[in-house]
Amino acid sequence: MKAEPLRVALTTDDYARYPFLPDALRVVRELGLTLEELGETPLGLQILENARGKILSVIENGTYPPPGGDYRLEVSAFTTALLILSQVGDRALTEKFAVAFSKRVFESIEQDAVRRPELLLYLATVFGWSLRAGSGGISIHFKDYVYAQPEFTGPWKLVNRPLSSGYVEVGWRELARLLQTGVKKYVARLVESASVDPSVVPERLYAVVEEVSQKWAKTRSEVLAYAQAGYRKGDATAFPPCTRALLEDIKSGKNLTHSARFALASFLLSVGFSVEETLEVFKASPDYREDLARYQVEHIAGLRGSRTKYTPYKCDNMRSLGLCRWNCQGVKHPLQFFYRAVRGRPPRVE
Amino acid sequence: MDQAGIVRLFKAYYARNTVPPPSSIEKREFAFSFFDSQGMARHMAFRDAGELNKFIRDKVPQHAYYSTAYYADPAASDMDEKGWQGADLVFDIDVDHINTPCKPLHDTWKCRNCGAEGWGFVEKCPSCGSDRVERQTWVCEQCISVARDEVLKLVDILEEDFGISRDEMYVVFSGHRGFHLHVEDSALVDLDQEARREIADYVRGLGIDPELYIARTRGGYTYRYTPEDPGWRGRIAKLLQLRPEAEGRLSRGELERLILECVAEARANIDEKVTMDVKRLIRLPGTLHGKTGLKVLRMTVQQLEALDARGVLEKAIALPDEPVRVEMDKWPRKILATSLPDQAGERTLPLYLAVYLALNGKARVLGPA
Repeated sequence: MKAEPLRVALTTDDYARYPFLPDALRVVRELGLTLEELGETPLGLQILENARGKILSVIENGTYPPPGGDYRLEVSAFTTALLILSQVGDRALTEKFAVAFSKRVFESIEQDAVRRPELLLYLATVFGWSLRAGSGGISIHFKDYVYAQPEFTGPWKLVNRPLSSGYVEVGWRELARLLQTGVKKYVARLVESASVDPSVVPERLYAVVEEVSQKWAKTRSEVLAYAQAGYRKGDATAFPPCTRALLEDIKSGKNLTHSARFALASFLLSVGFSVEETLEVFKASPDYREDLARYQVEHIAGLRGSRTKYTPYKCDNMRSLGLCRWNCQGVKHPLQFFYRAVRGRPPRVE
Repeated sequence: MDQAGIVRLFKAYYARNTVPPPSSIEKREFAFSFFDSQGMARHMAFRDAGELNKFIRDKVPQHAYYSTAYYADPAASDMDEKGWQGADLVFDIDVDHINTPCKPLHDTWKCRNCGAEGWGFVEKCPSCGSDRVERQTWVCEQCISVARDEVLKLVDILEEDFGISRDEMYVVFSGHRGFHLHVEDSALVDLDQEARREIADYVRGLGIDPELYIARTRGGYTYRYTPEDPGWRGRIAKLLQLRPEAEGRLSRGELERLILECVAEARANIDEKVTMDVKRLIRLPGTLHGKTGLKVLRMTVQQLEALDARGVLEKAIALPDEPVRVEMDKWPRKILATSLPDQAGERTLPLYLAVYLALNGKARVLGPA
């Protein structure tokens, strides 16, 4: 299957539903639209307006609009949206966009899983995955499986899967779900590679970049301010149980391990605590040393060293490190718990 | 013999032996620690085996490491500037993490909080509960044998389930408490942390949900799969067949307990942190371990299968075996392949063993026998 190029008859309707496919992009490229024209010609303005609408829809209600009838507009607006996101350069926004987009595409993938499964195989080859068709169904190389695994517990966990000679058996519906993650990561990669020199970005397009940046920053800061205020009032229920336990440990005068400190500091910084506020929390620690702690917290905040702002460990990693013994329903990352709790829907904890 | 004497022995070893370079040596970071200074010299790079060996012969390090990662610029001091290009998939099996039955024969602990002490392995002080416990650990043939079994279990899982060829793996005896298994497969170098954790969890059998493995039948529960099924499904089935108590219909709880016991038996006891770390520094094969004086020994999977624990240790002995007199306050009863009957004070031992006792403990080497 790897060696033979798959032949799938793609229609213009497919281009509209799967606008990231190389074939779809080629068709649009043949239109010969230049970057300058995006902000100038009537067609260019229509595309730009459509791209803006797509991104704002993602920011405002978390959904990517359903494909319209004109596949050329659909694909051009999609690629323009990637360009805008690349100019905004915020990883969290790109992620949100990629998630919303992949959810929309999943609807099409699910339909095609029944109607013409060969299209699913084609999508897999676009992502560079290695598949094998066997008597029992379809198998996917473990590397591609773990790359796209939607969950790391229960039936999705690799350890619970039939894995043999490097290939994991999956059903068609499961393949569809894996492809959804594939789409998400593929689109995020496209955003990364869509970068162009900002000086050549036409003014009209740049205005959209600024508008999107502002809308996004506002959405984020409202949430953070709410959470901080809650914590200061002594109401830490927005925090996941692992983080609450670390806070209690530190308050009761326990020395935390290195990874526990990292988990706590990166969490607090991520929800909007300043370096000073974070240090205040760590002062209760019996082995607290101002200079050392400050250095570490500033490092995690991205003010030193690699200048990377660190996010807390994922739930699975927290478990591997022995920092989590809970099961928060539908949560894979401590920050996810937090954002849901802030929106008044705290996950159930077992 | 004082430290200078031990340094002379290391120097003589490196003068006679050449350290083979790791693959893609020019992309690896190297790190060393030395007998006469604290800390580690990191972010070093060598163009070829000649340069690496010249450095080692000149400086005679106590410990030598290289990165499992490949970098565009391995000598850059900032991790972000190194330009990570990928990393080998590495597994660490360390008997320190496994409670081997021989620990009471050689390991001791002392509580820094209340002063209690004893033989064997404890996580916390059994008398006051403090975790400020100082440990003196030694390695014997039996420890290595346990670790060797873990490596072979791991190899089996990697071959059968992950389809990784033996030609792309090699085993390293670390020179102290265990083994490293390196996989150098170009298709796997770009695996991220998340993927490596999933692989580590797989070989450890972590996250197995017994509920997915059982079926309800009339009058009880049975195991769903056969020994022919791939992955853990078949692996558990094979072990269940060896257990007479697993026959017939069982209660849900009993069957789930049996499944988890089989998992515990078949899992490879690795340290998951090492596998997850894509920028790990790991011991350089061919050098000496600075806490034991044993050689960090690289071998093929087939070579490990052909050797028993004693064979591994014999191959790792790199220093001379001339008899010397050694004095020590608290002798372990067993180290490496040697049993030491209860006796206080002075005794005569081969030099390599005396060096191990001196480097890892508080033994004093008095001179030639």
